Amino acid sequence: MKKLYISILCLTLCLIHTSCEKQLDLGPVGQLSEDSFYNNERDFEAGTYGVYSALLSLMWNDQWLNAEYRPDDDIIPPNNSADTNEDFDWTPTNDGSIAFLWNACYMGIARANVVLDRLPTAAGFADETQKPRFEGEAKFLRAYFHFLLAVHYGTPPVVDRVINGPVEATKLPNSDPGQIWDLIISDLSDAQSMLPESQGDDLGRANSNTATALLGKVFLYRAQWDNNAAYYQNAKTELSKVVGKYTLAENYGDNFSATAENNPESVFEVQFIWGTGDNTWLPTDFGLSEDQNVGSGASQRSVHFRPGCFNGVCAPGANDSGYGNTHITAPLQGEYEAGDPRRVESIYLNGDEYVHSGGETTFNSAWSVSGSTPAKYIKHDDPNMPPGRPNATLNNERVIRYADVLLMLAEAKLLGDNDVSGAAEHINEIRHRADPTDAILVPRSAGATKQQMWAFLMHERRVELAIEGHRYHDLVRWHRAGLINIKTDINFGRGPANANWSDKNLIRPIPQGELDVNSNLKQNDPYVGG
Amino acid sequence: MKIFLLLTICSLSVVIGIAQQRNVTGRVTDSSDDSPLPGVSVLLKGTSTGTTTDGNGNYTLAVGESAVLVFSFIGFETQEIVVGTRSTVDLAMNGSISQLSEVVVIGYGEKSRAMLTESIGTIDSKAITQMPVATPEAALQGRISGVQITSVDGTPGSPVAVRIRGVGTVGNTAPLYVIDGVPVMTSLVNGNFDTSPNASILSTLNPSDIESMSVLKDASAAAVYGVRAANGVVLITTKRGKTGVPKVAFDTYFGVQNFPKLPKWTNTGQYVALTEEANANYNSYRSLNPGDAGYLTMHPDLQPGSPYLNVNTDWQDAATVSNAPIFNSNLSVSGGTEATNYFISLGYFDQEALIPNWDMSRYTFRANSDYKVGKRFKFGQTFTLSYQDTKRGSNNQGDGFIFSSIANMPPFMSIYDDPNNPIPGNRYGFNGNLDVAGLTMQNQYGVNTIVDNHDRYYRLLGGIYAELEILKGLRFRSAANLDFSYSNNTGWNPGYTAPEMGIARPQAYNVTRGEAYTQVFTNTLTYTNNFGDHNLNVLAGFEFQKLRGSELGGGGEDFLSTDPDYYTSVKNAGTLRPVYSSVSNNAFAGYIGRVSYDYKTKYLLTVSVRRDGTAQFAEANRWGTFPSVSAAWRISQEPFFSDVTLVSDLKLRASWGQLGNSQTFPFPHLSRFSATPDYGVGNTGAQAPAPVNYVNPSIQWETVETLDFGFDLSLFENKVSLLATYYDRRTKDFLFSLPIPAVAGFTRMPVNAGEVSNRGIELELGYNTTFGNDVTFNITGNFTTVRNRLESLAEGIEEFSSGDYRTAVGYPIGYFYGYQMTGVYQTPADATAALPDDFAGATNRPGAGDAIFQDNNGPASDDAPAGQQFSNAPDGRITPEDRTFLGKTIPGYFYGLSINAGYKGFDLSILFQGVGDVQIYNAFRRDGESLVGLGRNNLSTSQNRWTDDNPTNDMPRAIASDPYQNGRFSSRWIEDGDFLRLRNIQIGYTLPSLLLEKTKAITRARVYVAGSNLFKITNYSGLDPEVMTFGTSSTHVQANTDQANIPQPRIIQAGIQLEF
Repeated sequence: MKKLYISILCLTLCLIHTSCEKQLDLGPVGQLSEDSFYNNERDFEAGTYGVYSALLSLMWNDQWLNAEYRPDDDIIPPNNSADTNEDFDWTPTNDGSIAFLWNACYMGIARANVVLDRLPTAAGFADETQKPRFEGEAKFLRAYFHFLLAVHYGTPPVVDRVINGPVEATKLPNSDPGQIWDLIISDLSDAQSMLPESQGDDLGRANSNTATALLGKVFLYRAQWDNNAAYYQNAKTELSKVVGKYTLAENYGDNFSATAENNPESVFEVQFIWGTGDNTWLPTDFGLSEDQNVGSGASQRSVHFRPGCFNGVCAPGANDSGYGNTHITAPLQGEYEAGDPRRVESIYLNGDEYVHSGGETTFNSAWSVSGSTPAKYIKHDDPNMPPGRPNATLNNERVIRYADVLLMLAEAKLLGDNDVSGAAEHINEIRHRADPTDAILVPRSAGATKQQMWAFLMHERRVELAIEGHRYHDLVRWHRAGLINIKTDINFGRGPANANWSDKNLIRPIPQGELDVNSNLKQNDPYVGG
Repeated sequence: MKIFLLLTICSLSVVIGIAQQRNVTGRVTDSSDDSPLPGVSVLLKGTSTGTTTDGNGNYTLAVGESAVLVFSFIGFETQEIVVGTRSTVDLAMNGSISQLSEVVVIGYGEKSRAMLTESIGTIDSKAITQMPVATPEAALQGRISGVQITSVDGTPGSPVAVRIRGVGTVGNTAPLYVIDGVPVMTSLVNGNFDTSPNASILSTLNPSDIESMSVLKDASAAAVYGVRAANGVVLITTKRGKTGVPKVAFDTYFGVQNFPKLPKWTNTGQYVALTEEANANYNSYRSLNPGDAGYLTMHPDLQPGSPYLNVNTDWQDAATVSNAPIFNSNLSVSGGTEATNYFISLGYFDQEALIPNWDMSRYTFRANSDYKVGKRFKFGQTFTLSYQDTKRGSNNQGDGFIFSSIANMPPFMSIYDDPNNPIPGNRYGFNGNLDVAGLTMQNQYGVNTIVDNHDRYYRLLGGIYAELEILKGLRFRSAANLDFSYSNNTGWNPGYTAPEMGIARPQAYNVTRGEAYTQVFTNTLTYTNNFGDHNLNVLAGFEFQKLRGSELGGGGEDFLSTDPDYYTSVKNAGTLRPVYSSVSNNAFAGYIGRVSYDYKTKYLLTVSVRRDGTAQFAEANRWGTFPSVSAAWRISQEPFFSDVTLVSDLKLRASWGQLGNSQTFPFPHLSRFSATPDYGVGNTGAQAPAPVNYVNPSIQWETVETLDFGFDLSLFENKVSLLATYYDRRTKDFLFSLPIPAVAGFTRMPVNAGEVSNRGIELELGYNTTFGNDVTFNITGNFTTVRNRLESLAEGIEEFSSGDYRTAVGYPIGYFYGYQMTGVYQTPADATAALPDDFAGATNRPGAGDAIFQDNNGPASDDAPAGQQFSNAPDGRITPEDRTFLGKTIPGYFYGLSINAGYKGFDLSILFQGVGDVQIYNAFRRDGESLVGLGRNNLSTSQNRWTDDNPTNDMPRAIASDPYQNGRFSSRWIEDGDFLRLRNIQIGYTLPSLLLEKTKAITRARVYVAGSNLFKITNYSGLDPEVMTFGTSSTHVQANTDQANIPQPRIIQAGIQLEF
């Protein structure tokens, strides 16, 4: 009897332990793993959207506006206290947007690199010829993120491969001079040749023209950053390829309208959408790395652009759908030619029609510290956001539009070839679209001097592209190329900003937190021993 | 001492001298199974003459006439036998439940304290229920050496940080909890790895149901828990019935709770004066004149004549609840026969928090029983069901910053509307203070009051076991246990407008339901036998545990009715919110082996090993073997020691072993992709999977190696006891989510890196005596030192910082890292001569009244060795490299002192507890001494700020926007956190039994009054020096940051305990 007990016992134990050891073979549930993903067309299509979605994280809130829009002579902050960002009081630690932009761009780059890494070995493609399309998209996005890093931080690390494994692998040094531009240019050249000319109904995805337009922009920037006029020719070549591929929208305002997204003028725009989390105060993939994606916010641009209260006078929706964080400087208000139809589409002045969630009223200059707030993106936004989301908007971010391409082409022609009439032609296209009568915005004369045409061009860029995030980058590259002197030529509309601006503000500091964990990374020169 | 010895010897001689001697022999057995009991003490009553039983339970003793033998053995009821004329006295001793504290519950078994070779601390049910706390681990505070307990905040059921022998890892440092043999989950919501749980995992347990808690501190004790034991193991054993007639016990208490301390704030007048000063200082700093852009003027609302200047709201008063009640009630029935026993209990607990709307209530039911069938087979079960409901105010997690964000509202803002001039649409009567003085602030008090958020947990914890004695001494035990929890967490935000609350929010209802279970299947074989003087206990076993969890949540907005009957059905929402869900799984399997051997109960040896596997690592790294060995020598049992009557017991012990800690993010070796986020493609949402983790394929558990030396000493017939242990705990390859450069696409990666050591001494001293026949007195104290040091990090990494905290080789984990403030520039000339400051920027030079920061370091030169970041010499500039060690977050020592005394029916117990050699970052004061003017209110300590007339060096001047960054993280915010607290004092009276006999029902009745946290001695200026950073109960990397979480309440309580 005892022996029987023991035998049964042994048998049971043996059975238990073999079956239980197998039970340790678990994987993450409710998630895709490297074993089960990146195999076929469908996977890569979705995976490529994953790279695009990094744009949503990048552009969702105030930090994006701080980094890209605000420190310029078009926008000032609402209150009278100091604003380290807009007052050019930049240090490696004092503004969150410095680290925010850095982190968000490298996150996007990492996602692009995963796609590029897996693509060659993916075995499930029914049609192998589909692969270049995904490679082109990933390279386009990798280039775009690197471009943002280059114009903000100068020579940050270049990441052209998946980084994993030991921590040393993550400690990338600053890139060599020119290295980041070389990678951007090579990626965009690849993208240009690999992408189809159209993505069909998949509006928002990059096609070969998108890559070409960005490549032209990159050459123009590099010509000025490196002060090497040879790149103007590359810029002209690439930008010219895009001419005729797009058309200027009939109505200037369509470019910022929630109902006219992806219109024929749009070269590249970021497609805002609600995320799947339930918190509109967080970006669409907030918490992803903690395995809890809780964010559903698309963009908070509207809440930061709409007016709030000033000195006790409140706009409708103040502190709810409008925080009043963004105000238009007097210099920009004064830049518009009298009657320029673009003015009402771009900035609100006293008495303008103002649509808000509660209805319609007229804009009261007392709502603003400068008497004016942005109308761009707001005027044709949907004022009635879903309940609970007064802070967010789905109105897409226009990154490159055809008008910008034409003005960049004008710039390349003017500066590269001294082609004054070629520049005038493109500038006048832009003016004609804004004012088809040509009566208010009289065409620029092809017989102007180069210097006159340069002034016309600077004016045209400023008003056509106001509050779209281009202005400060324009100033910096022109300053670098010796075309202007920011210190003497530019009025930032704010005493501390004018007083503080110095050459060091041509570049952002590298975030201190990044230097703290990467001994191979060096701070940008102007910020070492400030 | 000598006199005592002499007296003893004399009395011995007297006894020997007068008695007529003869020998009595006998055999002592365990009444439960007739097995012989070796080591039983047999004493002649009234003398210290005696012997102990041998390996077969036999003894021989010379006795005189009318001798009475006293048989005592740990874990058994002491019995007195009159010898009479007998020459043979056999005795079957009964296991004693009342002295169970003497039997120590160890992993997969029990041991008498005398025979322990391991380091194990215990507390019994009396000590557990002495403190009026919601969650039982809080009762460990101050009780056991080596165990430091810190409540995350003072709200009911909040998580408790338990640190056993320091902090062994920069990752998860929480111990493993084992309730009646079930290693429990870490989260009640989804069973998953959860570093910042809302509630303690033990908060659903009724402390009154607990018989004892054992804390396994060294590797030898904990090794049988293998890969999860590195941070120590807390074994919780619930009550079981005792043989006898049914006994009904009822106890209840009621108490009131208050803030132990409250800060003071500036009033409206002081606020305006400070703001004016801050503005003026700013204008002059920037050389601005009236009319210049950026020139600061006082907002019209705060200029003379404004009605707001007459408002002086005490927001803090509104945020605090006075005399918040706490109520607890338990009813239990227990009893048994030789063959069966049972314990059944019902419990109800209800505690209001010190801030509104954070209350908790809990119902528990328990039924435990054991059955014997024949001589060889027994089985039994445990079962508990609990329901807990915690309100969560306007945060959904912890109390967070609720108290501070209400208390620091500007005093010129109002909580409620002016009743004479109601704001249209204000449905709650609150005032949104919309654009008062240009400020927009949510009326946090209002929102916290109107929301209705609940965390509800239902938990079923129980199992069955069966035990068969196959051969004499060989037992097979099989146990199957289940821990199942179901959570139903709801949140209702009624919706309000900006005029009501400052910020408009829509109504919204959210519900999250989670279920989690863990199944544990344990099979063990134990063999106990004696071979002459050789006693052997062998354990072999196998355990498998499976964990599964899932969560599903959804919600909606825009309900037609705000009636709860309507909105709790989410489908009624005008707009549905996205549904979300999560699923998790894990499994563990382990082989357990342990041999305990002793020779003549003098030389003790325990060898144990567990081979353990966990599902969460790659297959190649899945299994580990965790060995340990411990030995003890009971010197006092040696013949040469028998003369030393001063020493009643002395044991030397030593142990060594290895343990694992696998608590990390699951599956860190796999590259994983989340199906979210989405991306709009032509305005249609498309799934956009993105990688969620930085992959480290070689990740595995961390290993802790523990070395222990110590002794247990009892003196003067066990009146004085001393336990001393030196421990050296080294964690190798600790798991950590290392901050990495964001260029990798992630900001953290899981690594096994480096080594941490914790070394220290544990002392426990007890004194136990009676004065006369009536007064009993007992005092026990414990003291623990911890020297925590990071010995190494990964190759090439000497340190990493995480915000204001840094972890660096040669320093304790997670120390405070910031600028050293050395004073205040007193004159413009001083300030002009100040060093250039890279942190503030070149355009923000200091002025008179700004803080002086110390120059310690410059950046390392380009040819410095890898990993070196500093020049280690002042460089004439204030740079981020000048940040330095400002304090540590792990106490250098902590201690507890407990006093128990009784006189006739009266009893008194006192518990002190304290920590020392530790610092706190007073972030609450940092917010309250911002000195920038318009904005949140300042603490009244801001009145000591620097001015021309008050040339202090402690606090800088007020200046709007703080251009020089006086408020940067610096030594100004670091304070010593040492404290000594009167944790509890209790005075009780047990009614005389003569009186009770008349009731013919009540057999015992005790009434008591008690006070908790009545006073503390500390130099810390915040609310409570018992601080854990909000949201981090289980890691120590950003510890000791005081955001003014709710402090431990001061409780006055009265209770009654009855038995029938």
